[in-house]
Amino acid sequence: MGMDGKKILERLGKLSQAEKMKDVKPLSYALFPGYHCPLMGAMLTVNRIRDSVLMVLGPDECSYYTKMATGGSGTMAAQGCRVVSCVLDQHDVTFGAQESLEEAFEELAAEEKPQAVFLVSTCVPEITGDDVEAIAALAEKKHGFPVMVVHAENFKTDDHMPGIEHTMEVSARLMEAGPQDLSINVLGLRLGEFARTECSRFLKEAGVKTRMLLPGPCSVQEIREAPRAKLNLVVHPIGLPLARKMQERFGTPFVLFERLSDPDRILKAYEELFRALELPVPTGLVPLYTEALSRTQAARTTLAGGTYFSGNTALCNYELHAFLTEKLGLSPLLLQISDLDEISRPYRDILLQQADPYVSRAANLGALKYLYPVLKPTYNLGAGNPMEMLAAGTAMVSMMQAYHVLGFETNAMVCEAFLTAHDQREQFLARQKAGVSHPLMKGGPV
Amino acid sequence: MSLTRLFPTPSDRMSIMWTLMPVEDAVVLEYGPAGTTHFGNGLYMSLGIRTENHIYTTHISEDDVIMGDVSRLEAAMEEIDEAYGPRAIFVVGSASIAVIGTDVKGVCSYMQERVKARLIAFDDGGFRGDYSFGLKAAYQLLARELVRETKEKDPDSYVILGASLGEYRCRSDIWEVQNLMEEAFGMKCRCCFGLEGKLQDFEEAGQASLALVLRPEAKEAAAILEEKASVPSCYGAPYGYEGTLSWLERISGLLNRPVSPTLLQRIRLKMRRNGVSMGGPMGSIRLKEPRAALQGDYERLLGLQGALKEMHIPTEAMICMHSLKGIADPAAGVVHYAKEKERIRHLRSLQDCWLLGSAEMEQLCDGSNYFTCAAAPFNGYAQIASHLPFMGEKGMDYLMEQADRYFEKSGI
Repeated sequence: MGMDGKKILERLGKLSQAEKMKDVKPLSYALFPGYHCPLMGAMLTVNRIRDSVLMVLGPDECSYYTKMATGGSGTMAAQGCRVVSCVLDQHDVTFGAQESLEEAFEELAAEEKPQAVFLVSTCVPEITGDDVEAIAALAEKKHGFPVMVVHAENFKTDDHMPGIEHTMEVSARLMEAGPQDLSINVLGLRLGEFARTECSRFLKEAGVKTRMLLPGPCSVQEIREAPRAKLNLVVHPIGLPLARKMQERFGTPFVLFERLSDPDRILKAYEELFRALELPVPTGLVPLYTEALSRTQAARTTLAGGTYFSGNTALCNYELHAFLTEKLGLSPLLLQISDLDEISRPYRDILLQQADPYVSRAANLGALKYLYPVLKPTYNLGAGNPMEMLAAGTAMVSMMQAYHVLGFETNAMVCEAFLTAHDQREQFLARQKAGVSHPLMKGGPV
Repeated sequence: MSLTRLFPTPSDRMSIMWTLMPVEDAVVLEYGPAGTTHFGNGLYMSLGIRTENHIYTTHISEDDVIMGDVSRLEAAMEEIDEAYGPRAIFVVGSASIAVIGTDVKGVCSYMQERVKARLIAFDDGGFRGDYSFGLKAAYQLLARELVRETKEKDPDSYVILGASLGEYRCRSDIWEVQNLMEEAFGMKCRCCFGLEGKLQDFEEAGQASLALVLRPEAKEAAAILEEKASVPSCYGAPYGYEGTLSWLERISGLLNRPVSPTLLQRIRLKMRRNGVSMGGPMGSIRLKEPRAALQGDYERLLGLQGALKEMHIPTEAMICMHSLKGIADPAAGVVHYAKEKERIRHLRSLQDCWLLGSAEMEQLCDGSNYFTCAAAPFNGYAQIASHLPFMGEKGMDYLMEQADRYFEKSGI
């Protein structure tokens, strides 16, 4: 039993036909595991603001799962941020949440005076129409601590990104103007450690201090003083609304420097960054650029002609696909996407000159596995079951370090990840030919 | 509700999910925002429930919310039916769906003509009560909807009603109960409501000669089995050596079958060896009085209290994690705090106790206490083993080891 991969394909459209996300069909109507929600995005952002309070407003499930994710020592663990909730019951749903929220704020204020509270409003209060902003404003006035409302309704989105974006945007309310210095804020770095990146190294060598990381480990005070930075370095488009707001309110310029894969585009991003900082472009970039060009060319000789599926990655997705097709000679067969934004249109245009892949909505691994045997991609970029992929001759491309790279190292990581997958696939095919089963594969020889 | 600082009490919907998901050849389809399902999978996996091919979500958009569009739900039902051929699809509405008021039962009713799988709807959106209420509803529904009327009997089989995967070490407890039944009476478990079984096993549950009812929430389901197929039931869970013997003797009386003498002899021997007169963990010479504080589900509180009594350890607090509304005449000493801050105040006041409860107990009580994880939420206490019960002979073995550790640590 299982889904018919051919039938799934019949339903899907091509990238060239998709103008907006409503044109993009899911692989199936029954999704597994399904998209993350904006509450998770908000959680991933607030939980690293060490002296803040994250208050979830919603049914007990939303609160329970947030506590679960932020507890312990995992990657989502709260880093000093206190996670509480105002759990809605039948009475709140019927008569409104104001009374409960007021009581929750009373209790919170009696226990501590938080530097900032991020009140995350989930699906239920967004449906019932509680005026959460007004209640938050009253609480702020009464208790004297800032309360920012993050609207995190899941029924308007297909992933958790709006939760991150909105949390960042509302945090602008905390910011205050101040004397500028040679420093930057890093906006939009999800997970990962900026200090480990190549870009951070070059900035440090040039005497540029990193001020606020959002999302990232920071304090409310650091958010308050963020406008003192000379520049906002936006590493993902989710940082753009805050960057624009800061430009408007404080005149802080910004540069968009995503995790790019193409050496020319990386060099251009570095040049733009240092120009905006009014600093010379580091000479150390030249050998890295030359090396990236050679590496790309060498990888092409091995990888050209291969095909792939891709889900969302931590990189600049459409730029990655433009690089893979144009520079490595790979061809995407299916892309699982969450957006068709204007900012990435130039990359899509490059990609479409080379290929026109099927597109589907993301986060649906349950159905994806039925397409491996139909389209038989050489590689799969993203999550999935590696054994199911190998059975169809597809190698999984794993980019474990993706959250920690920025600069030419992104190019290195992408090339190496594909070359590793290529080798694994070759080894698998050789074993298959020799009738030797893969150690992790069930049953006999495959 | 006021401020919730700790884990909130799981809702009825959450326990409905963890009770339905283990039914092997059925699928749970959540009608609601995908984030609920994706987030929830973290909980289900921590409870040892497999998720792939067993839970799907429809996701919803503004059209579903504003216009009441149910086409996603219809399409998902048809797709699951065609692709995976489950024998049943449990359709569970999310909290958002409950608020919108979508008639999930009505959709299932007209869609039944278009799909082969049995469609069973749940529209409890998490606002009707806590997980205790949900367990009751889920056991009842499984008994009412699945169990067939029958006069056929298999004298060597029984069913278990009242497993809740939300309870810490549930899988281990059921393993122990099944071992005890096998060794004591040579009987096999047909299915366990809330933990394991194929749809057919539930349909044929009426052929069992006994229903073991381990939690009060399953009493109504037991009554349905009695009514449909004259299955007698035995209420209660085996905790402690004496408690286990008494439980086995009650079953023996109901079935008119003797308990295996080897088993009886072994448990009695343990009681003698570890008893007060032998100076084991229950040794009578104590420098100070031991005390225990318990936190957990109602039946476990009473079970542990009994087991501790066998060790001459008085219980000074029994904090029930769920509402006692559904418990007829709750036992003396069991309390449930509707307000979290009262629970926190009570927990913080505990000193020099053996704490058997959730990870929050460990977090809130001071270092003068000795902690054993025995209840949810159990963050930081993963359940890998399925052979470390609190119930039965093995459960008491473990409790005695823990008691010894408590005495040692606390200088008792």
